[in-house]
Amino acid sequence: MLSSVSFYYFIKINNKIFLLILFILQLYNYSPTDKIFGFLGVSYIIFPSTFLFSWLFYFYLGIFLKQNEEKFKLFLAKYQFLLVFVLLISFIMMVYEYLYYSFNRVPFYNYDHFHRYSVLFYAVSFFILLP
Amino acid sequence: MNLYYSNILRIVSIIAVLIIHTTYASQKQFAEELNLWSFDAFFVLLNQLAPFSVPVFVMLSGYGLASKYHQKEINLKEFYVQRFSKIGIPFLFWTILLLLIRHSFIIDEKFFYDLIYYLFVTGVDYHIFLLLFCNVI
Repeated sequence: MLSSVSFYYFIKINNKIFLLILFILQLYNYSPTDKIFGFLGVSYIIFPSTFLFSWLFYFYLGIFLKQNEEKFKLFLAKYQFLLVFVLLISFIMMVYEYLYYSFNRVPFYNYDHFHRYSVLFYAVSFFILLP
Repeated sequence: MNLYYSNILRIVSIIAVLIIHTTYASQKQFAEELNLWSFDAFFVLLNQLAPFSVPVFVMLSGYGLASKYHQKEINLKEFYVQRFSKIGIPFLFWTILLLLIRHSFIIDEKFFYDLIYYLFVTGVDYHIFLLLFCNVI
C-alpha cells in the first residue's frame, strides 16, 4: 500500500524545497555523519542500504528531473562544465577516501559502500551528465 | 531522456554492479598488501568507478515512473496491483525459497516465526530487502 501512496504524493509535489529537505535527510544518513554519532556514543542505523531515507532523495530527484526536464536541459547546456567538475572531484574524493582508510588498516567494507557524500555527488552528476 | 538513453544507463549500471561484486577478491587482497602497482589496485580503482550504479537505478526508477504517469491521473488500486506483481511477488518467492533452504525444508513453528520477521522487518537477505524497499517507494 505504501508503494502507491508515496509515489502518488511524490509525483504531485514539484517543489525545490521538498528536494532540499530530502537532500538534507540524505546527508544526515550518510557517512561521515555516522562517525559523528559513533563518536558521541549514539547507536546508528545498522544497514544503511535497507534504510528507506537513504534512497528517497535519489527517487524524488528522478521524479523532479522528469517534471522539470526542459529547465534541466537549459541548466545543463549552461553549466555542463560545473557538473563535469563535480563528477571528477567526487571521484577523486572517493578514491582518496578508499586509499586513506586502506592505509590506516580500516576494514574496507566500512568505507566502500554507497552511503558516502562523495558517492552522492558522483552518482547524481553521472546520472544528469550521461544522457 | 528518451528510452534509448535510459536503457544505456541501465546497461552501464548493471555492468557497474557486476564490477562491484567481481572485484571483491581484489579488495581483500589490496587491503592486505597495499600495493598501489598491482592488478588488485587497478581492480579497486574499477570498483571505485562503479558506485553510481544503485543510486542510478533508484533515480531511473523515479524518472521512469514519473515519465509513465506524467500529467496522468493515477489509479491507486491499479498502480499497486502492478507494482505488487512486479516486485512483491518476486520478493515473496525468493524470501520463502531462501528461508526454506535455510531451514532445510522443515516447515515448523520457527519457520513461520522467521517468515513473518523477515517479511516485515529485515528481508531474508539485505539484497532482497532492496526489493521490498522498491515496493515501498
